[in-house]
Amino acid sequence: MTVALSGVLSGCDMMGGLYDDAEETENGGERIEYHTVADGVRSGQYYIDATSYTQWIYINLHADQPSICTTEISMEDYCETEKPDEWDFALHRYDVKTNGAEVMMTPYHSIEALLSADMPSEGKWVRDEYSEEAIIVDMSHMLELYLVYAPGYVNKEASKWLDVNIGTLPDNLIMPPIYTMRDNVMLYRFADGTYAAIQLVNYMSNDRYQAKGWMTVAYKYPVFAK
Amino acid sequence: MRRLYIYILAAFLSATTAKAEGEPSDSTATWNSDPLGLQTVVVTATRTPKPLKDIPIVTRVITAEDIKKVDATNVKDILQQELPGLEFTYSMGHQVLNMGGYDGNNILFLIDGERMAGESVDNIDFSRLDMASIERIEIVKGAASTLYGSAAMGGVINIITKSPSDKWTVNVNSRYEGANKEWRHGASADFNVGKVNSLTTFQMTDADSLSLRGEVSSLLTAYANKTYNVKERLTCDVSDVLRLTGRAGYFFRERNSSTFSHERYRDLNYGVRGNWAINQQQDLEVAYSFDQYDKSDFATLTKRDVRDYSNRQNIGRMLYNVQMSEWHSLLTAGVDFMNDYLMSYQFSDNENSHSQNSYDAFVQWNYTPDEHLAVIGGLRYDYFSAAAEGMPTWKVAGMYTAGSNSFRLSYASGFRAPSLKELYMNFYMGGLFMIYGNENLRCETNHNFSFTWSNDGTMGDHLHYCLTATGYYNIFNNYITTATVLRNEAYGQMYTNVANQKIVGADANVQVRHSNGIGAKVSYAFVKNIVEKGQPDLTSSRPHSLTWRVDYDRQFCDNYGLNVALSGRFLSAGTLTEYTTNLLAQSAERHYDAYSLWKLALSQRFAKGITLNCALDNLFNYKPKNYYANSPVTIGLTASVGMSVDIDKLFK
Repeated sequence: MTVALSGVLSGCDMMGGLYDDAEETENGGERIEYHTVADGVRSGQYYIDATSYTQWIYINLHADQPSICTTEISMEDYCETEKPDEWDFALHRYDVKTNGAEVMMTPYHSIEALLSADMPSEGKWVRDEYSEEAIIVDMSHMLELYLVYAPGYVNKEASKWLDVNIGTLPDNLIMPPIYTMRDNVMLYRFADGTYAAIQLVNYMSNDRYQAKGWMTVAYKYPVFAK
Repeated sequence: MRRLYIYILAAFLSATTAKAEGEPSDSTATWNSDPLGLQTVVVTATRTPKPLKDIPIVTRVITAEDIKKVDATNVKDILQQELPGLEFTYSMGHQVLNMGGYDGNNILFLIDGERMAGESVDNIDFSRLDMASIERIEIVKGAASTLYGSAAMGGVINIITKSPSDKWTVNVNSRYEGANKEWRHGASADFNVGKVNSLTTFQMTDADSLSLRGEVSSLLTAYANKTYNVKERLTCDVSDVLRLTGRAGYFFRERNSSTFSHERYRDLNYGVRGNWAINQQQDLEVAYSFDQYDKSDFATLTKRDVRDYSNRQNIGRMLYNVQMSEWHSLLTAGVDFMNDYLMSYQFSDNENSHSQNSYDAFVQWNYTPDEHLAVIGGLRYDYFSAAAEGMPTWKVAGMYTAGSNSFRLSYASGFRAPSLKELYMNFYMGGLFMIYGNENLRCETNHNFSFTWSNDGTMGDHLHYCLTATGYYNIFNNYITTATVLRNEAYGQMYTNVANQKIVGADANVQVRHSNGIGAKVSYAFVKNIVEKGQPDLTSSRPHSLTWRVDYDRQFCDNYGLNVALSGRFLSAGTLTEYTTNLLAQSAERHYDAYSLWKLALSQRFAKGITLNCALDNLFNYKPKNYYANSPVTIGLTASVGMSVDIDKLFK
């Protein structure tokens, strides 16, 4: 009797109709959300799980259908397993590295606005930089006041699309971290001289957990083709 | 030096008295037989209506008039202004509370005696407490679990809404504060149709974001906020002995926590209550209430509004009073039932909701053998299904009155049952570390002893005064906090009971009002938490605090009156223990400077129904060097203007 009454009372949801359903994320839910090809220009949006600190997610826009593949970072020597031969850029959480590209953050907040304004004449093209502490690969020691970094290349300009401020260890840890997203369109100039427009749309999952590290990214390639 | 102050005050009062006596006869000062409100009938301390000065348990009352005088924006402001030892600070982007050495978790907020659902860090969402419908706020410091159950350890703050009025009233008001670009609009309408009274209130606020940067590196952001709060209450006097009350309310708040994601908070509540005066000796109250508080994230790009938190409380209660005149006694007995349901993003994937039932029964005996003595005693037993734990509490208090002096002595026990969050949490905090609940948590408990002396009376024909001094001692056991735990080869945090502590403190309050319209109120509080050697004191209390208000109120003629109030509060410097990380072993002592904030408010009344308010807050432009957790959220001197129109009075 009490259990039944409890069930009835707990199930009494008076505002359930006000909300959107959370998306179910079967098998991680990674996907190309849409992809079109018109006059040789590929545009679309992908949604990927970049929540792991020990994975790089590689994206190849040169293929007719953009390809996404994941590598594991070894915690012993920080080498990656089965890195793809062809790729354009890669994501590790919110860090970005490129395959020999240069990146410029534009002042435009939609890809169409960038394209209608033509190639920015001002702006800084930034190459990847090598660092001994390029990416965080182990957060589990946060409470012991240290983090584990792996060496490698990161493109600091492209990585500006999301700033995560956790303060400074050990004295000024900010909890929860302050996330500052920039939806400025990033212009990539690849090694072959072609350009891609990349824009971060969302950095949280679409399910009810709103987990950070699920990246929704809009793209268009090639752009500003001669 | 002290004598000099007294002479100056006496000279000032004499001078203004002379002026008042010289006023035209139609000039009416704000003066009545109870200028300090000591006969105000309050309910919180005993759950029965009694005059303030006749209750063995000290109750502090903030009236609607007090709220007007300090031009308070919200309940948080008025509580901080009127109660020394109470401090709201910012943590995790939300407001948190400390009162008398207790965390917000241990302070119970009620509206008309009803609990509220939902949580924002360590207590309810304070922005739900709108100003539109407040008649008074009753504060009982110390343990009160014998009447109110869980969480009533450090005190109970009961917001009493307006009583049904005999005639129709309509009020509209607006207020604008410039520095924060904060608007507040409110409206209320009260009218009768036959035996039914309707009270409708509405309030909305709209505030810009604040980026607070200290001289060093600290940064605190108070995000832009919008709130809407609408309530309806219907009261029907079915007969001379039966009153039925129905109420419903809806609350919405949106916080622009980033450009791409806004946090949304909604609350829907309703309730019915029946009050039956069985005969002259007995009365019975039966009530049911429902309160649902939700949190969701609105993605501005995809327009999806996804709920990740829902707390629903169903509460049934019954309260019975019987007056036994031959035994000079009033006996009160009650039973309560609550079903508490919580769905949260902070629970695990496969078990994202939990619920529990709680039951209690209590009895209270109020013995008043003569005009000098009053004794009150109570017993209660609560049972919580989630922890399968029962908790008895009891209290005894006495008051002896001799002339203008009264002495109160009380003991009360209190407790807080672990919340569903603390029992079942399973949350990856900020993508950094896990926080785990603990199903083996025990209730926090306390024993509260207090002694109060008060003296009230008149000096001459024109000056009323009231002095109150309280000393208290608390034994606080099983404090719940998080501690570091190694699980799955990674360090995380887990809720746990930690070492016991003692809290000692003292409050003093002086209140005077003169027939010429001048009044003053000064309150002081001292608090000290005593922890076991080697244990951190995590209760964030500053040892000394003071609040004050001097005001002048005068109605010069039918069409013009004014109130000028200079108010302020002072908090002493404190060296408080804080975690430098969430690792218990890594705590450090952080120094907070002393500070005082002053406010000057001018309220002018025109044509009976129009009130124009202007206020300067933080008069001396205080800015903290660093915006750490216990720093005041102020950007310096701010100005506000407001207008309130009682439309009904314009026609009367």
